[in-house]
Amino acid sequence: MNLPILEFNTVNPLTYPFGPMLGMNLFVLLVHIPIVFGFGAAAYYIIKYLRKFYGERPIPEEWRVFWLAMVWGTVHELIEVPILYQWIIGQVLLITFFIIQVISGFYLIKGSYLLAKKYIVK
Amino acid sequence: MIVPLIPHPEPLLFGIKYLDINYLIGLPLGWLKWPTLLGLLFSAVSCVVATYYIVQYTKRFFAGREIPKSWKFILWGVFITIIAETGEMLGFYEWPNPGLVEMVFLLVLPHAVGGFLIGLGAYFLYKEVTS
Repeated sequence: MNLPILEFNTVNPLTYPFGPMLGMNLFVLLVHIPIVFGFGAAAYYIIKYLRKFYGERPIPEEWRVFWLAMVWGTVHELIEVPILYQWIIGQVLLITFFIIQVISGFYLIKGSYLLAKKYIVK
Repeated sequence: MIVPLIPHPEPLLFGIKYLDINYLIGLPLGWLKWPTLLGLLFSAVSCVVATYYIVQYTKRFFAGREIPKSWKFILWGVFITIIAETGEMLGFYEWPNPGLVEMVFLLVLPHAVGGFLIGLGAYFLYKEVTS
């Protein structure tokens, strides 16, 4: 059995992944709301905070990168939904997932490092 | 080709003996075995590093003053996401026999709590400049 290049499946979240255990399936499905919307809300409120705080002034790089980490974190959590439910499977999906993980991880490290950098140096 | 979970007569508490890095969600990875492992590891490590730097940032920036709840929530959210990313590795690699502990307490719940706390922290950050 080889991993296909790309394949789309119809999977009912009410009958998956725990088969007939509707309660557990519903739990896994509903828990994705705070997962995806948590990171999405972070991206939304951080940019609102930055626009309010800095106004017309340019947003510093550390904050811009930290915000990008939240944006890519949201993309990261979003792509895990079709992976878990196997709505999409295949090599293309895993390569995309890998790229998203690298980008979101990179921005998270860089953003938090730049935030800390000024004060660590001081 | 869908790989559903294998139903067990007794709830499987831990599925660590089924962990196999050649399969993700029960699907054979082939040449993608190492990139997939590296990607998953990097996600967990990036949260560890970010937690460290956020601690440094809040310690120095607020120097002696009370750290606002916005940053406390963000910090705890990123920290809990370390557990979630580790649990994701375990759960996805143990598929179709992941343990209940890995699936619920290490993967699903920490993801939800971590995401919720980061979102809430960012909301308070915004509220702090508007109120």
